[in-house]
Amino acid sequence: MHRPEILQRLTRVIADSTTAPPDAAGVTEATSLESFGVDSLILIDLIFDIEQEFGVKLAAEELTAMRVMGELVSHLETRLAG
Amino acid sequence: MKNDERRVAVTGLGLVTALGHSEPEVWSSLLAGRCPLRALKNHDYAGNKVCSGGEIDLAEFEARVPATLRRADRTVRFAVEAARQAMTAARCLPAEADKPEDIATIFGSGCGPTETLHASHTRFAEKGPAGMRPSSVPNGMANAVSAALSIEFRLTGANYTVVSACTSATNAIGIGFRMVREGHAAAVLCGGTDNSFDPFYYALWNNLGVFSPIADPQRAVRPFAADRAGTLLGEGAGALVLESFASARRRGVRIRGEIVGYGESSDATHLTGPSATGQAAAIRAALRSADVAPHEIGYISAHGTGTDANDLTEAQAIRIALGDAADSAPVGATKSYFGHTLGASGAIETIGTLLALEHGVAPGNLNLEHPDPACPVSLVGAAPQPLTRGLALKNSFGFGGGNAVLVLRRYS
Repeated sequence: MHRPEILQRLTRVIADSTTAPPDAAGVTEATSLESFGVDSLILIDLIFDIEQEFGVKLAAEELTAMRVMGELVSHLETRLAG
Repeated sequence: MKNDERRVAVTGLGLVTALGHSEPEVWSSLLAGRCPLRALKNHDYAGNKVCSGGEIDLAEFEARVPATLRRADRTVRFAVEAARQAMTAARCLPAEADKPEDIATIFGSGCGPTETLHASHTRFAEKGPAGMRPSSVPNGMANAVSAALSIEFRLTGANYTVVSACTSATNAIGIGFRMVREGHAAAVLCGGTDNSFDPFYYALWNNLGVFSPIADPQRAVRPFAADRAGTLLGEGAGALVLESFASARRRGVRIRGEIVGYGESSDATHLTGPSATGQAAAIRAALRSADVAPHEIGYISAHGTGTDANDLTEAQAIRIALGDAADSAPVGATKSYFGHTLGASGAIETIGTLLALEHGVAPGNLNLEHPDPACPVSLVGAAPQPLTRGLALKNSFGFGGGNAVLVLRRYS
């Protein structure tokens, strides 16, 4: 799966899971994950939704260590390639 | 006069209704006889026999809700916005220096988080148990309402949700009244909320046969009229802050009225069929609690759903409980303005009653061109009517046989 498609699908998942829905057209790999307003309960749902969407496992500590969308895209790109 | 530590003052009011999203807006609309009931348009209701009611203007409402609550169920969001108004007026927001300690949160909801339960059901149908989000339980539990309020306003007293159909909010206010009067809480945030127009929840009502088939929504709900044909639903929330008179005076907050009595009972007969005997028992219990005689009551805010059986039974109950004093206590019903807001109705209509007492005038009964001669009560007419006495009853009766009645007094 190519990075633009991963970014597009991630944006849709995040819009459905978080308190600050991103404007799909405005989300880039440089967009801060913090800007989505994720608290601990939403984080659990977000991880669940990402796992459902991409079929890969994601640990909470892995996601919370990331700062921008590009890092999450890279993480998923690697897992999907593996 | 009772000790001011035991007299229960209402110091905060908040409303989210089809008639308006603030107390002044709602009151001016009630006095003007403005009916907001309309064809439903927030979702697709195709397939329902009746598609009208007291629907919130969602665009205007959602603009008021903080982004942090976007994931909360709409039932919760209604409650938080109504509570924000009440807590602001009562100066009980977290930043207030002199707010009462350990404020309790006792809120009613007849349906609970309908939006979340609907979404969970859809996911279950599509994906089975494996598709259920981890937050399905905390967001979908009935007490998500009081939990969210407690967290939002940092309220550290008792925190639970009362679930008793259409008496939920009146029960919650009654419990809050007792907590303050008996010294169990310094203050209570109470009220009720319901999101009746989630498409799945609304469809549950489709074949129950209680909706008015009258095509014009503004003419459809006709409480106590000979030509009444049923009710329409509404949605929203009402919130009140209760505290002792001593606390309100010490803090210098405005007192909007007094709760002086609360009574409750159960019909113990039928899930949906009302009982005049059971309802009269709750009215009598409320009068005893208030130490008030029937002839002192100057206004009755009825449950008044506009269905044939409910209005007749309620009128009989009032006559049983008040006797001849019912002749001088005009009955008003405001579900023709708000729709039947279910578990929120007791709070929204209690606030309406407090405002009627405060202003000394009862809103007119919409669509009451032909009062039903079989209903043995005195009715407010189509126009607003001056109130000469400062005590009122607020009746709420619900599926399951629960009956709850508050006695309210004008503050002067």
